[in-house]
Amino acid sequence: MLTVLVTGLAIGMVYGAVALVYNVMFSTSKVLSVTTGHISMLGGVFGAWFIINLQLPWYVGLAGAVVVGAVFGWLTDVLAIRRVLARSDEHLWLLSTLAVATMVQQGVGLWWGTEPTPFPRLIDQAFGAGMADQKFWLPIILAILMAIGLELFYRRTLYGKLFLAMSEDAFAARARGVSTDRIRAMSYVLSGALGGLAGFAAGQLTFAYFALGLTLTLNGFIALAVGGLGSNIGALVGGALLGLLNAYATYWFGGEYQQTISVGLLMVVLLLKPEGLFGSKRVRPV
Amino acid sequence: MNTSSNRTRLLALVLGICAAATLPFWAGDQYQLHLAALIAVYWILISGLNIVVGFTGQLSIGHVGLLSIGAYGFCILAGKMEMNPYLALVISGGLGGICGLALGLPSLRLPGFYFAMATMAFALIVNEIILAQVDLTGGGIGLVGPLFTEPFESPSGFYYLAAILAGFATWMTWNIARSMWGKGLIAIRDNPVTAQAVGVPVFRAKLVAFVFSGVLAGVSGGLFASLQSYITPDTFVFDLSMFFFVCIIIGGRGSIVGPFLGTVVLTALPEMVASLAKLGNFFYGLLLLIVVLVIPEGIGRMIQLIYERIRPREIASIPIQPEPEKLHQVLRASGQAHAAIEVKHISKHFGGVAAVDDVSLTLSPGEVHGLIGPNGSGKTTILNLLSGYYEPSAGDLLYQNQDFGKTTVQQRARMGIARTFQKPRLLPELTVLENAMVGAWSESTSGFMASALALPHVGAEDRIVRERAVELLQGVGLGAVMHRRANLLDHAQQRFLEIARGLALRPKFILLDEPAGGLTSVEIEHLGSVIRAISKAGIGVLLVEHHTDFVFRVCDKVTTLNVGRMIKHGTAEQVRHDPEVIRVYLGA
Repeated sequence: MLTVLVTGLAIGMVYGAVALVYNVMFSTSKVLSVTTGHISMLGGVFGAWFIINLQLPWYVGLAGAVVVGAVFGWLTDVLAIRRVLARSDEHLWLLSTLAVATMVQQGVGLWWGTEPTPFPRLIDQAFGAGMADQKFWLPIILAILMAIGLELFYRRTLYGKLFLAMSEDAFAARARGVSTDRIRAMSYVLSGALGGLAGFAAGQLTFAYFALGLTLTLNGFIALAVGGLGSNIGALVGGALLGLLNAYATYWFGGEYQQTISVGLLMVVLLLKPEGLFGSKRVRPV
Repeated sequence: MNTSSNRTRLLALVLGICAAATLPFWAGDQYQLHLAALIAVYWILISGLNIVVGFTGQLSIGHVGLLSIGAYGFCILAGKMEMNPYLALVISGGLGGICGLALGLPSLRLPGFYFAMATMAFALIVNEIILAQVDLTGGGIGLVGPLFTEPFESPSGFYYLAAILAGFATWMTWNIARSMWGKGLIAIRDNPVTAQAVGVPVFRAKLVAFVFSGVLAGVSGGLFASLQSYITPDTFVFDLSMFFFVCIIIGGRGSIVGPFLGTVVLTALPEMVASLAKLGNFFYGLLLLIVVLVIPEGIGRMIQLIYERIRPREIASIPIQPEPEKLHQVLRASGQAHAAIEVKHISKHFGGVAAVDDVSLTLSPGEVHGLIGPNGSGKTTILNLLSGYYEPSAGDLLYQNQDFGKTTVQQRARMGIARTFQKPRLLPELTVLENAMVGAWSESTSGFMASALALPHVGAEDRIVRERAVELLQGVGLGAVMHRRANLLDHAQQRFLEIARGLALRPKFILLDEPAGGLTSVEIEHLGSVIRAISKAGIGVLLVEHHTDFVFRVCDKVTTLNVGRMIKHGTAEQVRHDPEVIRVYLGA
């Protein structure tokens, strides 16, 4: 039973971390990017490639995964966001990020292969460690650290406050002299770095797998919507709920209907509390 | 529009049908015939999806799930249960429709990204269920796709079956596109607030369109299973959903020819060029990105733009020339209100702020009622309360002794309350005439399927709406620009078109939100004559306006507001000389 709890929490925190990445991008651009899960997929795949194929030490692999994530975050902004946001049609960003996500997934599939590849051990630890295994606690610790770090960043630093200002009212921020394009690009680089980090930390749990991106995009989004869009604590709680629900459902009923159950959770929450558990109600603009 | 392009289109249509009808005789080999049949099968799904994505603007990326349901339904019924394949195909369509309803009911209320994610999740769920229900679906091993019986058993026979159904689907979507439904769906896509204002039941209309696409996806799935002769869950990869979606986006939204060409090219191209097939989804993603960044309107629209570049149409500015007499007669013919709207002690609070506080007024038939006051005094809020965008915090809105304060925007439209917007909300890609026709939505009673099948009464109703819209446009002075796209109108023309759209509703009352804003003095004169013609025909007019001399000239009664409270109510003369009104608003 306890194993189920730990497994559920671990995978849930991976979803929670992806939800945090969604939040960082959303704060400055009001865009929910389809590429969010793919950033973490890249972190996992490139981490494995650096360590296994290039035989680099794990900390270099970690740094590499973060850099790859950051670069991809920046590319997302350049390719899919910058030009599209200038137009008025709100649906275009959904199409452009979907396009970039599709290309990345297929590109990695062609280059890396379509089989899930085991991720290397980062810390010397016997495989029989059970619940204390690093593959469980690495993502849990990381997601919590990410949430705390983001809160500190938003509250203590000038750039964090600029993010918040843009999230409140990008137009007003611009009028006060904030270079909104640059801040948005920065937020995408930051979210890319965080996503790469999350993917790296989750690697042993999820394997390095090209199709992981779409799964994370969807489940990270469910965690986000359940927890409440824009709330970092909500992201973690939503992720944990989703992970635990999945783990216990698998334990009791078998793993055949995982996706159905996840989406069921989303629909129930959206029906009862459309703004999510920790989200703020917004007045409907007319 | 003009006869020469109509003739070109007719010629292209006839040639296309001839080519399709004789294809089995000139197609090089069995493989090309298979490809042609595949295009037809895909198109059945895509033509329906096009109504959802291209017309209604709902980005569904999960239609592969509905295809899959149709395919498995067909295989189980016609194969395992040995049912008549044609009956099985019909049931597959029904299954697609039911699952479309089940998916659409919870998800179509959600905003764009949420909806897209829900549809994607739906496709994954369908695959999950198919894999789990081994007894029924064969699990990962799959099922045999049964053949149809004679005369559609042979490959060429199957091709004809698919082509006929594809032609039928195209015809239905074409009928929808040019009916009131097509305009209503485009209104949902381009301006949901306008759609509500003219009475389009937004959620229900989206749902109907989605279920329609589900039926076509189910039928397409049945044919697909038969054509592929064997299906497994791996047949219905997510790539296929991307493919459907990309065909439509590349073809261009609001078009039928564009997505069709997209389907033909994107089905055939990877089959002909092996390297593209290997790239698969990468290729679709790249195409999608290029289209979104470079030509978001799609290739169909680009061809139109190039055509307009080669043969530029005269878009000389034509001044507005209202014909008040004509307008009066058209409006006179549609019956007048007999009762007044009573606004009684109405308040609207936003949090702690009272935007409107205890305001009462009477809006009588045939009377022009002015509403003036400084910015932020609650004028537009009262308009939003009357047209149903806000629910009053306290007080009553009475018409014929019934409180309508809690009814929806659409119900107000049906009651006969029309409105215009402070910032014109037109449908930019439709013509002026079509924009005016949208206003008559609540008058048209044709159902979605009746429109799709072009039943006789639909055409008759459409003609009545069109004729009246033409007369109204001539009446407000836009007769000369009737066939222009609305995004080519100047500001004043947009304002007058808003009024014409409101009048198309056959209103008993019309609420005008700053109609004179940005107009020249000549245009304001025209506006005055239009408003007088409207009121003379027995329609009650509520006029929110800042041009006070204009208000005092055309209004019978004037109410002055300040910070949400009523400070003076009376005839224009009384209000104009009231010291309090002069102090807070008019100035000495």
